[in-house]
Amino acid sequence: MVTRQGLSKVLSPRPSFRLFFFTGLVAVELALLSVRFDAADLTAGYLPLLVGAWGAVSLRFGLAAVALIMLFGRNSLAIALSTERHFPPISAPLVFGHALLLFLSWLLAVQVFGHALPPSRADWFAGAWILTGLLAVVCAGLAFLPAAVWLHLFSACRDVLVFALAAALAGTVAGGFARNLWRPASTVTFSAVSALLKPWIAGLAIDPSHLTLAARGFDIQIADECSGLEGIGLVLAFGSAWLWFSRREYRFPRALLLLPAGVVAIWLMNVARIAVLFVLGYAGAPGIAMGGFHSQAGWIGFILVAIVCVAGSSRVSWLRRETPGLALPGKEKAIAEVPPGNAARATNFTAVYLAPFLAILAASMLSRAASANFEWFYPLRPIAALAALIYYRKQYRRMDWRVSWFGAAAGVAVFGLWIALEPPAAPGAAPSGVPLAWIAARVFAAAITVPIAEELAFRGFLLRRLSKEAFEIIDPRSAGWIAVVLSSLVFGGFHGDRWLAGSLAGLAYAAVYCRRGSIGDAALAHAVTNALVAVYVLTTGNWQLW
Amino acid sequence: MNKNGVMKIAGVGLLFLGLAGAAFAIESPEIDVSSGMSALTLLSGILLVIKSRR
Repeated sequence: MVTRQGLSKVLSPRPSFRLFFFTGLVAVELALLSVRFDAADLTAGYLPLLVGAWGAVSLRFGLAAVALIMLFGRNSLAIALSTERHFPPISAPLVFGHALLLFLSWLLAVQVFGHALPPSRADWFAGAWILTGLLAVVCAGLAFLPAAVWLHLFSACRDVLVFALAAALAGTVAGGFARNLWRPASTVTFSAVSALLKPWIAGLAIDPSHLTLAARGFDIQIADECSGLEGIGLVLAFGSAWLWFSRREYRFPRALLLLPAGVVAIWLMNVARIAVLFVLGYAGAPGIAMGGFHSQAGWIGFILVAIVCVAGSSRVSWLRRETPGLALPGKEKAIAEVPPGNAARATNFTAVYLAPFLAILAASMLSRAASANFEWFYPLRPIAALAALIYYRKQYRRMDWRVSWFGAAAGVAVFGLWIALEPPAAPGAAPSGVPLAWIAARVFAAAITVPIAEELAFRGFLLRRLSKEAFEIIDPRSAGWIAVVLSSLVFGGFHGDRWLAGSLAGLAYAAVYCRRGSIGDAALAHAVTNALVAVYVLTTGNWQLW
Repeated sequence: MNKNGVMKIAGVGLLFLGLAGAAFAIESPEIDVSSGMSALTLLSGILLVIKSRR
């Protein structure tokens, strides 16, 4: 039973958390709206056409501005919030008002995007849709922080606000102009790929006018999007943000050299990506070349460049300052656990909790890159997870792996919920020619490695990390409800179209974890759900669930 | 203009370029939402691990 004091505590989180939660809530709602509704469906009325033409650009501008405010205005916002004394509890009526307005806005959006309105009414509906959407945001803002605090925040962070809006506007406009660079950049990339392939590929047909390469019946065209400019943009955005966050650790201006180095590296990586793609197709695997490899290789290249720049620069004393270590409670505890004189080998708890999940992500990218339509190399995922689990086995042995019937029952309940929320679909045929070993690896991963890896990452790490930086000393039973909800939403987001079922499952596993503080209990609940889903898939033929 | 001012202008200029690139990377057909999300999660996780090591 929730006591009055308990409810009051729940509705009165820290001010910075309120701001963070509000921003995250609006971002998630906007993301869902943009995924559900397509601007191409807006074909009638003046206002809908205006939204269709400028909606995506405005959304990007808004997201960039908010990201910049959060990036550069963190300290100003924290200081401004710390000077405020009066923070009433989160207003339940305003939260309800937000939900109601959002629902109304959603209903209106269904009409506006549904092709069913005559042009004369489309403008009215579009106006009402935008107005209710804006009012919903205002309602949420006032629910979390009073109007006076918002005015104080705007006033205290005026400079950051102006800078963020100007930078976001400039970035959006520059993005439009940058399209003019696509064709010349594609030509340079085409020349480099041609030069790289020519000595090795017999009978390579090179057509500079159409930027095409062909040999042995396989041909590719270096489209504008393959110029490498996107990668360069990503590296510059990532590099700038990284240098800003780590500015106290680097020597400037020499550290800025990392940016051109990253640009050159990502461009070379793009040339290599296209060359390998062509070689794959030429060697008789056009499905892999134009399928998984095409969509994954760019991301793999970007991650490699980013990690090499970050990890490499940390070892170059010419670029880095000598900084004394931060005396965080968690780090102190970590250092205290190793013998004196061996502090450099203190446990990296973030690595312990995240390694299996990151290993699965990395293996999934590699296995998808090597696949055409069907992921034959799926067994790489459990193998990678097992390798990480074995590597950190000593640390895992110290964790609480007790299990209970409550955890198993929660797993069964989540399975029921998962199936109930799944839209009805006709059972499909099993993928043809799939060996039993592949199915065994799939079941093993679903029931063993995935639950352990995801529970360590989402409950053991994220849920507690949202409560405190030194997460390893947090007792899960004292975790705040915002951390529970946010970590569950992130968990749900990883399940794509099944985000609702995923979020509810995350809440259930979090409840199991917070009940006794046993990661084993949460992993058991998750494993039971996944095992039952596996049995359901194999017995009913609902392969879409996998 | 002092060194700090030059640094700020250089930083903002680079940020513009990065934003421009990232803004229009979204329109690339080969960057689908799920692979982008996996990639950015993997990168964020690795960076968290690197940051925690120090």
